[in-house]
Amino acid sequence: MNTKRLTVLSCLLGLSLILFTIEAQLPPLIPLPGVKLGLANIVVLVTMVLYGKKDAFCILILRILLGSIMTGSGMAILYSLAGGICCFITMSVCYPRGSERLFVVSALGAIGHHIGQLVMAMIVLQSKGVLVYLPVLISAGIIMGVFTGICAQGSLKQWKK
Amino acid sequence: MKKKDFLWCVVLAVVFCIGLFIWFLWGSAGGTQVLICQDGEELYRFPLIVTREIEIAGEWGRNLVRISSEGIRVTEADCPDGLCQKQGLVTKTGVPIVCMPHKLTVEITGGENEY
Repeated sequence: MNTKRLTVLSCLLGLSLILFTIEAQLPPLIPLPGVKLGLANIVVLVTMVLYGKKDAFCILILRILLGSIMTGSGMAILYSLAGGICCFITMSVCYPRGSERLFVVSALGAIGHHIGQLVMAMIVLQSKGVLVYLPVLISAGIIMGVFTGICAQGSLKQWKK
Repeated sequence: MKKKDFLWCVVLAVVFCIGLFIWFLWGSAGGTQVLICQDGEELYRFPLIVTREIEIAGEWGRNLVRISSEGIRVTEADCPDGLCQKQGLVTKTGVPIVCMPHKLTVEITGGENEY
């Protein structure tokens, strides 16, 4: 049982790393700082449903650390960490109430991700100017979050078969 | 359950629209100065009317900013994502062009009496 869990979790981590790397190669959809699809979040959501919060958190943190080493951008790790942790906190608070509506959980998580990134950007750039991006980032987060949430629901349906 | 799903969709859609609405209404035309900051410190302040190109090169990397009466634009950058270039021309005040990896912000500000 334990071996199976370990194997599945490492497969999930590998999967999220692949998605993360592919996403980094794609051209940005909207020319705004910090907007991305968040494909790797699908894996975090799936893990949260299958194995619980603790394992999802491990996968998230490991994915950010390994992914940043692989894509090789030093500054990005700060933004990813801040965003990822905020996203995770939001999702783990919302998940117990909305396990049947994953797209809402993931949309709220994406909003959390953007807020975390913006706060980190405010600290790094030491300017409040970036706050103007908050409304449009929330809008973008809803679209991307609903998309990844639907993807996660689809993958879970296949998983249970 | 179906009704609740619908409700959530409406809530998300409304928040989405509000966000876009604020974004498009934000800022105003009629700025007169360009402010370039790096790492929280003011580097340059230029009038917007004069056309010029400024190179900002430092320990983080290199950016080329083009200022003209039309607006501001980052024309060249060696940051990994190049988002500051893709943001294109900015004409409104209060909407900074941000180059996150280089800790650089470029924005149009009003004259002395506003903002």
